[in-house]
Amino acid sequence: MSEKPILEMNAVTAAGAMAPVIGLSELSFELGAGELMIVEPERHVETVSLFDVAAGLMGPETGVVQFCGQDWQRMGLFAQSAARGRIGRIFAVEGWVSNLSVFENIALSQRHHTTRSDRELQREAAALLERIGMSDCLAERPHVLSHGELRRAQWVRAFMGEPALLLLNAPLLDVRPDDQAPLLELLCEARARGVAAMWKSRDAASWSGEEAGSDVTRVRFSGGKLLKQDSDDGPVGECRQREMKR
Amino acid sequence: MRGRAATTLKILVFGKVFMSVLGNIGASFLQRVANVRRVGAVICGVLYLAVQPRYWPRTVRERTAKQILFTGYDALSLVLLISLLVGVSVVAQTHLWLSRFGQSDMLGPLLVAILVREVGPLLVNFIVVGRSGTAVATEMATMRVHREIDVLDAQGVDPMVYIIMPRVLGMMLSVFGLTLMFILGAFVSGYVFGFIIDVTPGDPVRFAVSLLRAVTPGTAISLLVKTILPGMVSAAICCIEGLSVEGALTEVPQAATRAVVRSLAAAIAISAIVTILTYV
Repeated sequence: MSEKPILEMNAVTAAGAMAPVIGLSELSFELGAGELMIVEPERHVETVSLFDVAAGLMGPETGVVQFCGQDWQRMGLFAQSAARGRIGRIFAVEGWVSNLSVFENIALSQRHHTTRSDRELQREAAALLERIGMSDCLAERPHVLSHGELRRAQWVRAFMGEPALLLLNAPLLDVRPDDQAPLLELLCEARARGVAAMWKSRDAASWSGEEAGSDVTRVRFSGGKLLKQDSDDGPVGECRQREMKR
Repeated sequence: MRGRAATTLKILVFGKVFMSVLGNIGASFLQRVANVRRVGAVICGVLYLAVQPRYWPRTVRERTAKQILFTGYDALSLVLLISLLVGVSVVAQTHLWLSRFGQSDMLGPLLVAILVREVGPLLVNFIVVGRSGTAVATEMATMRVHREIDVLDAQGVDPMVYIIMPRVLGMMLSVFGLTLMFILGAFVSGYVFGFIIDVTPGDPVRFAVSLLRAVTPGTAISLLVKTILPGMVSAAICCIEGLSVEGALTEVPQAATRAVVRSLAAAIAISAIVTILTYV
């Protein structure tokens, strides 16, 4: 595995896009291959900018954000889009294009960025859906599915192809406890393959994170800073927990 | 003394009102200039992206094809129906009146001037804006309200490439194709109706040849500009208005109305400007 961190923020300051969205203040951390960072934001505070900055959708006012060793700000527009195609993302609200079918939504990024055939993508999506205990809903429109099913289908979309980074925003919201285990299994397997993940959830405090494997950093997002809570330094393969710089 | 003060006050009030009116006119003008610049930027951006093959993944190709299907093919029956009605009134009437004045030779040039240069492109633009422009603006606005644009962007699917480019190019090609069909339909229906009411302009081949002879390079350029440019401008306006919605569902119909009004105004303005330039 590469020694370069998958995601690196160095003294990043960014303003929130809208008034209730809190910005980032002098944020520095590295997220290496296979690592998981659980971020618990303050209650009643929107922090969407953290993931938007991590995905290069929002440029920092100061500091540098690097994805797979590349500074988002120095990439061209095409390279930025291609890089974002390697990020699996789960959205806290909405997250679906309503005039596309579930399959078209799930496979959109892969169909846009790769030349993989539809049949191959359909097979992969169907296999992932089966693993998480969902029936074949690929031909349906998103509005037909329940909130819980849509959330689980978002997991499938995030894991399609071979993402380098997962940005999971409240990924277990509306998911029944019985349905959570296969999702966490998927996350464990992905991390074993070297996929880095950030998990942001307001109820993260009640979730131990052990189900997602070791090598987990837990941080609290408060006042635009990530405050370290505890860490499990047990190395898994080549994945090594990096010290938080701040 | 009091009279002088009253006069000064009147002048001051008048000056203030005058400056306020002038200011409003200026602000309105600057707003229009900004709108035109925005539309120009979108069109230039689309053209810049469209000539680069790497911005044509299958998702974008499919979107463009679907846009042409929706705007062009699905509107074909409506356009043909209107072209039949227009052909009946314009071709037959023109021939009837010209023959009364002994100017039947002018039939070809006059029909080309009316249908090819003016009525055809303008009417088709109106149909496309009314039918597809509203749909595009509403779709964009709804996508914005439901944050679907953010979802696309987060997956590396550039909304400019995936949403705006297919619509601009699709509407442009559709307006051009539909206008050709409209002109053809109008001439055919006009000829057939003339034949029925016994004012037929000679045999069909002669009629076709007289029309073709009347088509000059200027006519062809005018037709191209009056279809391609308004098609692109209308689509760009509808996309801009749709995407300008901030987040409330109540803004969606307002955005659609604004998009249609501005698109129609732009189509008429472009048509008028091109006509003036053609005859200058």
